[in-house]
Amino acid sequence: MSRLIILASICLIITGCTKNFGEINTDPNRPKTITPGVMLGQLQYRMVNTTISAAKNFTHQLMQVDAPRSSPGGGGLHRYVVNTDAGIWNSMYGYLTDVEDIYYMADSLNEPNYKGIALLYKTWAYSILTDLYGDVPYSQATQAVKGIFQPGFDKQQDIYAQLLKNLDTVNSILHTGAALRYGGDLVYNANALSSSTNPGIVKWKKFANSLKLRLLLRSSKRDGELNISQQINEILSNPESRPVFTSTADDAILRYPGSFPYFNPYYNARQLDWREGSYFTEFFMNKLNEDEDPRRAIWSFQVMVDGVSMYSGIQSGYPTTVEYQVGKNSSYNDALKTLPQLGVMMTYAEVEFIKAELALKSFQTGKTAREHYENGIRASMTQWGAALPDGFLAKPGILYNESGSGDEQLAQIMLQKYYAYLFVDYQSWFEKNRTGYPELPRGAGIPAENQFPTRAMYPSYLQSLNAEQLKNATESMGGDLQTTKLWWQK
Amino acid sequence: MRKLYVQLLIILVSKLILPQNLSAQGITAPSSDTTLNPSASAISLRENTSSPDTAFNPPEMEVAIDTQPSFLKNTLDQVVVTALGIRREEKSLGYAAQIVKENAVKDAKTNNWVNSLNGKAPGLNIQSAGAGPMGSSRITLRGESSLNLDNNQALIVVDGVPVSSKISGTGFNSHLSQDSPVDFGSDISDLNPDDIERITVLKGPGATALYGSRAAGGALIITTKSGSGKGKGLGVTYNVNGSIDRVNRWPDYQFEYGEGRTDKYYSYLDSEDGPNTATGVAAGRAWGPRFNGQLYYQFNPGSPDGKPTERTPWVADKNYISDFFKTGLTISNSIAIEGGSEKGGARLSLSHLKNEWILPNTGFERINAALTVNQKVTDKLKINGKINYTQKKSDNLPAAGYNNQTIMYFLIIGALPNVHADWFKPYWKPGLENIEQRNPFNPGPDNPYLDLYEMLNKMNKNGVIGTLSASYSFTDKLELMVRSGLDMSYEYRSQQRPFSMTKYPRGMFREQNIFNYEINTDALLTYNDKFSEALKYTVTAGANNMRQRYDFAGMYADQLAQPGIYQISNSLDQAVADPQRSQKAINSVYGSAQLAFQERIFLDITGRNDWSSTLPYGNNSFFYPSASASFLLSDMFLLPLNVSFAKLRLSWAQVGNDTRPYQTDKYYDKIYSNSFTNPTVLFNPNLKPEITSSFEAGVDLRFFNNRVGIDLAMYNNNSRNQILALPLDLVTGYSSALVNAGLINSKGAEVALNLKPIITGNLTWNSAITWSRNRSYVKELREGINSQIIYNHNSNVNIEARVGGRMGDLYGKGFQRSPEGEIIYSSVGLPASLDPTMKKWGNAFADWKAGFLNEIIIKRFRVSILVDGQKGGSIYSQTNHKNNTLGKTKVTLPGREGGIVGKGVVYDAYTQKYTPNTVNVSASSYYDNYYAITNAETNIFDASFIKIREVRFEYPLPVGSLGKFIQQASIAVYGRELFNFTKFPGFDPEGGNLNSGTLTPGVELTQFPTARNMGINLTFKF
Repeated sequence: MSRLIILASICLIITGCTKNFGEINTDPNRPKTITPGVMLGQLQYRMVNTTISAAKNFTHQLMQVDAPRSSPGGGGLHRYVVNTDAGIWNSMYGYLTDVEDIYYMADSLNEPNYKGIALLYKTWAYSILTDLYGDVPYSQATQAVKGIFQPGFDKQQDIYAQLLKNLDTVNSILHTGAALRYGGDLVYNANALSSSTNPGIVKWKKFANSLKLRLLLRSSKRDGELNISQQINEILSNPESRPVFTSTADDAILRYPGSFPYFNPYYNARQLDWREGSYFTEFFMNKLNEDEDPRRAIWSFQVMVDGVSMYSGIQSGYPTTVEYQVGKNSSYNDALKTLPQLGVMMTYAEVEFIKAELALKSFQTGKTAREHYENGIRASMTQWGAALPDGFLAKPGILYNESGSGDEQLAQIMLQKYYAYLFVDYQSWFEKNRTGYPELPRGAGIPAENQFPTRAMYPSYLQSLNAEQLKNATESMGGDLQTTKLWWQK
Repeated sequence: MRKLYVQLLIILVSKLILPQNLSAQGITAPSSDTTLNPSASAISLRENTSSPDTAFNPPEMEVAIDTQPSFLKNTLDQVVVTALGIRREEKSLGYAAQIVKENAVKDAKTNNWVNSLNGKAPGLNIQSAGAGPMGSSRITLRGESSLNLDNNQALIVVDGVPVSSKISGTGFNSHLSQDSPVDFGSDISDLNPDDIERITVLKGPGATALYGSRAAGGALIITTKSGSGKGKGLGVTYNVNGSIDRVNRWPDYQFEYGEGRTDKYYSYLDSEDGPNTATGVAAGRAWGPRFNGQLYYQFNPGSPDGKPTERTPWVADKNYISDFFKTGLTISNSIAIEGGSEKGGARLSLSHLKNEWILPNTGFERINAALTVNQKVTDKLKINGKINYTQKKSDNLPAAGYNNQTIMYFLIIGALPNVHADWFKPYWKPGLENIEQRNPFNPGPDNPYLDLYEMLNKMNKNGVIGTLSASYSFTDKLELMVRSGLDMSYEYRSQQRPFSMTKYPRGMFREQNIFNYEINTDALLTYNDKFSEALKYTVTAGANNMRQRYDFAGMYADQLAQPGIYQISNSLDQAVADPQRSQKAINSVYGSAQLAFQERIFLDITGRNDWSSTLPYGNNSFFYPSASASFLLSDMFLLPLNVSFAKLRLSWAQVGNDTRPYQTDKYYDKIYSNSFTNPTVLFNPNLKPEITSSFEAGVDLRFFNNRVGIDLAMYNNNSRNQILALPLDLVTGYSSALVNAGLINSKGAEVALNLKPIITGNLTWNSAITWSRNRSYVKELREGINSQIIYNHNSNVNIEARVGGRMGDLYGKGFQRSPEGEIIYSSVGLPASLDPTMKKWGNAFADWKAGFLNEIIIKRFRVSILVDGQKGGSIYSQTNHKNNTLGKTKVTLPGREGGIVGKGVVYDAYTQKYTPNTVNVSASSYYDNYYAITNAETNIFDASFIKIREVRFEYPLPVGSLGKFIQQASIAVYGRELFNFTKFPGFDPEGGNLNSGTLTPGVELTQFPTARNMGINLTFKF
C-alpha cells in the first residue's frame, strides 16, 4: 500500500510542474512590443518598391511606355489583357497592417507626427487600391484581431470622402515643431529638428495637401457629391496653412541609400530581364527623339541601327508572330538599377501639371496653364537629373499652344504629364481613363474584342476567401470585368 | 455505427453462457508447453525479453503469419509491441496492429529504410519528395485527418523513444524563390536497417491512444535488436551490400527538332546564314529546324566564345539529357556481435555506408554504432540500455525544385537536343575562374556543372537515440518500470554559391547549426491478477514527462566580398544572424485496464491526460480515452472445420494533435536586420488541441490450417478543432489566422489476404495481397468560410479543402468552354483567356492502393517479388508544363510543319453564336498557350501507376569445410524501383515537392528522377 502512495505522489510531482509552462511558451526570438521607429523605415521601403514595380511591370506596358520582346501566347498588357492576379491587392493590404499598427502605437504613445505620417500612408495606399479596383474594403479592413475575417467592400465614393477627410486630419495634426522621437523616416528624414522647425514634417504636410489635390482632380467629374471645387479652392488659396509641393526638393521620393539593407530593388536584376525583357515603344521614344528630350539618355540607351547610333523603340500590341531581336532596341538604362531617386511616390512636377489643368478649368492657381505646364517639364527634368536645354520649351513639339481648344491644350498637358509619371505606380493609366489622354495607337495584333481596361479585376483567391462580399461588391459595381467603369469614371 | 457495435457486443457476451468444447471443433488440444502462463501472456514490460533471432530462421513473410505449420493458438501467442513499449499478445488486441519483420527493410536496402516499407502494409503510405539521395519521405497512416499537412505524419517510436521525422528546411520553397530547398534527411532516416528487429504498424487512434496528443496520425513502433544467447558460434554477423542506381524512367522527349524559335534555319550567334537563333534568343526552346543532317553554323567547342568557323551537320544527340546523370553507387558494410545467457545479453553493431548518387558530385556517408545491454541483476531487478549513434555527412546534396540554380531546372530550360552535355563542362569563362560562369547557351539557367560542382550543400550530423530503463518486480503480480529515452542530434550545414550565378551575382555563403533534442521519461506500474480462472485482469498506471528543445542558429552572408572563399568572415555586408529557438513540454498521466475472459474475449480501456505548454496556460489540459475489444470467435462458437481462426476487433478512441510553440501571443517579426513588421499569422489566445474520434472494426479470418488468411479493417475517423492557419485575405491585416475549426471525416478500409498455396518440403510459395482505400472529407470549416487553401503554387494550382470536398482536392483554372463543352478560342486562333473560376481537376491522394507480394522458396533458394501500385490520384506537373511549352516533348510534334488549327469554337459577340475555329497558328504559339503554367486543366495528370517495386533472389551458400568458422552464409541479388508503368508524363507520379521542410503531395515542381536500384548482398554468420 505504501508503495502505491509513493507512486501516486511521483505521478503528481511530475504533473504538478506545469507552472513554468508560461515561460517555456514565450518566444525568445521575437519581441511582443515595439516602437514606431523600427517599423516605419522598412514599411516606407517596401511600399515604394511595390509601387515602382507595379509601374514597371504593369503600367509601362499597358500605357505603351515599353513592350515585351516577344509575346507568342496572344495575351499581355500591350494587347489589353489584364491577368486576374496582376494587381497589388495582396502587397498593399499587407503593408496596411503595419500602417495601422504605427497609427495605434503613435496614438498610445502620444506622438502626433507618427500618427500623421501613418494616416498619410494609409490614405496614399487606399487611394491607389480604390483607383485600381473600385470598391474595396476600407472600414472593415485590417481588423482580423476583432474577428472580422471577411470584410465588406466600401463604395468608392465613400472611400474618397473618407480619404479627403483623412488628408485634412493629417494636415492639422502634423506638428512642425517636433522631431520623430523614435526615428525611422527614410523619405524626408523628419527624425531631427533644424533650429526649431522640423523641415521633414513641413514636407510631409506638403505631401498631404498635394495628394489631396491629386484626388480632388481625379474625382472632379463627381463635383456635386463631394464639394470638389470648394475643396480645391481651399487648398489653392491657402498656401501657408495648406502648403503643397513648391520645388523638386519637396518631392516625395524615397532616395535609396544603396547600402545594406535598403538597396534599390533592381540593383541585382538579371541582364536578361532588365535589358532584353522589354524595350521602349515607338510611341514613347519617337516623341522623345523628335524633341531631343534629354531625359531619354537617363531612361534609356542607344543602340546601333543600320550603322547609326540611336534610341530605337518597338511596336506595341503586335501580332503573335512578331519577335524582336536581342540587342537591337533600346531598353532601360543600367544606371536606373542603382539610381537613388527611383523610389517615386509623388512629385512636384505632377503638382504643376495638376495646376495646369486646374488653370485650364478656370481655377485660380496664381499662374497660367502655360506657366504651370512649363514648370512641370522643368521639374521633371530636374527630378531625373537632366539639364533643360536652351530653347527646349519653344520646340514645336513642346511649345504650349495657348490658343488651342480646351481639348488640344489638355492633350498637351496630359502628354507631358505622362512622361513625368514614369515609375509612379498606376497614375498615368488612371489619368488616361479620366481624361482619355494621351491617345495611344492601337496595335495591329490586338484582337478586335479586346478593349482598353478601366480597372484590374479582383484577385481570384477572393473566390475562396471572401466569396460572399465579393459577390456583393461585384453587383454594386455592375460587374467584375477589366472594362467595368469606376465611380469617378462615370 | 455505434449502435451496431453495441449490438454485436451484446450478442457476443450472451454467447458466453454456452460452454465451449474445444474438441468438438476438431481442434487438437494444445500441448502443455503452450498453456498460457499468466505471467508470460499478460502485459510484460520487460524490454529485455529477447525475441527469437530471426536473421537466419526460415524467412518469414512480412505479415503476422508464421510459415511453420502449427497449431492455431500458438500463432496467436505472437507478441506485439504496442504503444509505450507495452507488449501484448496479438490475439488480445482490439485494433489493427501489423507486424513488419526485419527483412522488409533489409531485403532491398535503400538510402532511407523507411522507403522500403512501401507496399508492405495496407494503409501505410510513404510519399517521397524525389528531392535527392537522402530520400526523405512523408509517412502517413490511413488518411489525412488534419488540414495541416505536417500534422498527419505518423509518430515514429524507436525502443520507446519518439524520434523526430522533422526536416529542417532551408526556408525556401520549390518555385523560383531566392534559393532552393535541399533534402537534408531527418532523424528517422539515420537508423541502420541492420539493427531493426521488427516494426509494429499501429494504424489508427485505437492503437495509439496511449500517446495522447501525438497519436492522431498512428505510429510506427520500431524495436531494435537485443543481444541473445541463442545460436552457435561466435555470435558475429557480417554483412556487405553493394548497389547501383540508374534513372528508371524518362519523359517522352522528342529528338526531331532542335534549338530555336523558328524552324527556318539555325545559327549559333550571328553568321552569314542570318542573325543568332540560339542562346538567349531561343532561351531553351526547341521549335527550331528539323534534324535532317543539313549543315548549319553551330556551337564550336574549340573556340573560346563558341563562334563557329564552318557549318556542321544538324543532328540530334539522343543522350542530351541522360549524359548529365551517372550510375550511382552505394556500398555498405555492417558487423554485429552478440551474446548472452539467461541472465542477460549484449549486442554491438557497427556499420558504414557510402553513397554516390545519380548526379555527379552528390552523395553522402553514414556511420552507425549501436550497443544494447540487458541484465537480470537479481530475480526481481532488471536493467536495460540501448544506444544508437549515427554520424551522417555529405560534401554535397543537390538543390531541388524549379529555380535557376537547380540541375533539374537546367534540364528543362537549358538542355537542347542539338547540344552535347560536355559543351557545358568548362564552366568558368577563361581567365575568370570563380568570377564569371560560362554559359554558352540560354543565359537564364545557371551552367549545370556550376550547379553540381560549385553550388555545394554540405552537412555533418551527429545523432544519438538511446534508452535507459530499469524494472523491478515487487511480486509476480506487481511490476514497476522506469524508463528514459533521448533523441538528440546536432547538425552543421552550409550552403555555398559562387559569383555570377543568377540569384546571387556576388555569391552567397550560409551556415546553420541545428541542435535538437527530445527526452521522454516514463514511469509505469503494472498489476496483473485474476478474479477467477476465467476472468483475468491487468491494470497499468503511469506518468510521462516530455521535454523538447530545438535550437537553430543560422549565419548568412548573402553577398561575398571575394570570390571563391566560403566563410562568414567573407561577407560583403554585415552577416545576418537568423536564430530560432523553441521549447515544448508535455506532462501526462495515463492508465489502462485489460480484462481477459476465458482467453476468448478481451476488453481494453485506456485514458491519458496531457498538459501541454503550447496551449494557453489556463486551458492546457486534455483527456484522451479509448476502449477496444477483441473476440476470438473461433473459440466462442462452433465454426466450420476449415476455419482455423476467427477474430473480431472493435475499437473506439479519442486522441489529440498538438500544435507548435508560441502560437498564443502576438510577436513582431524581424525584417531587414534592424526593423520589425507585423506578423502575418494572427495568434489565438484560446487555442485548443485537435481531437480525433475514431471507430474501427476488423475481422481476422484464417482457413485451412492458416493456409489462407484474410484481415479486414474498416474505420471512420472524425477530426475536430483542427488548428488551422486559416488563410485570410491580407485585407484583414493578416494572411492567416490560427483558429480551431473544421471537421474532417476520414474513412476507409484495408484488406490483407495471405495465401500459402504450396507448402512442401522442397517448394514453398507464400503470397500476400494488400489493398487499401481512404477518403478524407471536409465536412465543416468555419462559419462563413467554405474553403481553405492548404498549399498554393502561385495560384496556378492550389490544394484546397472545400466543404463537401475531399482533402487533397486540386483546384486551378481551365479553358473557357462553350455550353456544348468545346474550348473557346479567341479571334487569333489561340485559346481565349482562361476561365477565372477555380475548378477541381483531381485529388492529390489515390483512390486505392494495392500491393502483391510473392515469396517462393525452392529447396534453399528464395525469391521474392513485390508489385505495388495505386489507382487514381492526380498530380500537377511543372516539369511537363515547361517541357511542353518549350517544345521538348513528343506531344509538341504535331503541327510543326503546317501549323495547327485548334479544335474549338470562337464566340461572335454580334450574332451571339459559336462558330468553329479556323485560324491556323504556329505550333510554338499553340503549345505555349495550351500548356501555360496558369492552366491547371492541361497540366494535371492521373497519378495511377504499377511498379515492380522489389525483387530479391537469395541463396544460402554452402559452407562446406569452413563450417567450423562460418555458421551460415548467404548471397542475395536484389532490385528496387525496377519498372514503373504509368501514363504520367514526368518522371514519377509518386512525387511531390519539398516546400522548405514540408513534403507536399499533388504538385510536382521539377522532381528528380527515380532511380532503379540493383545490388548484391552477402551475409556471413560466424
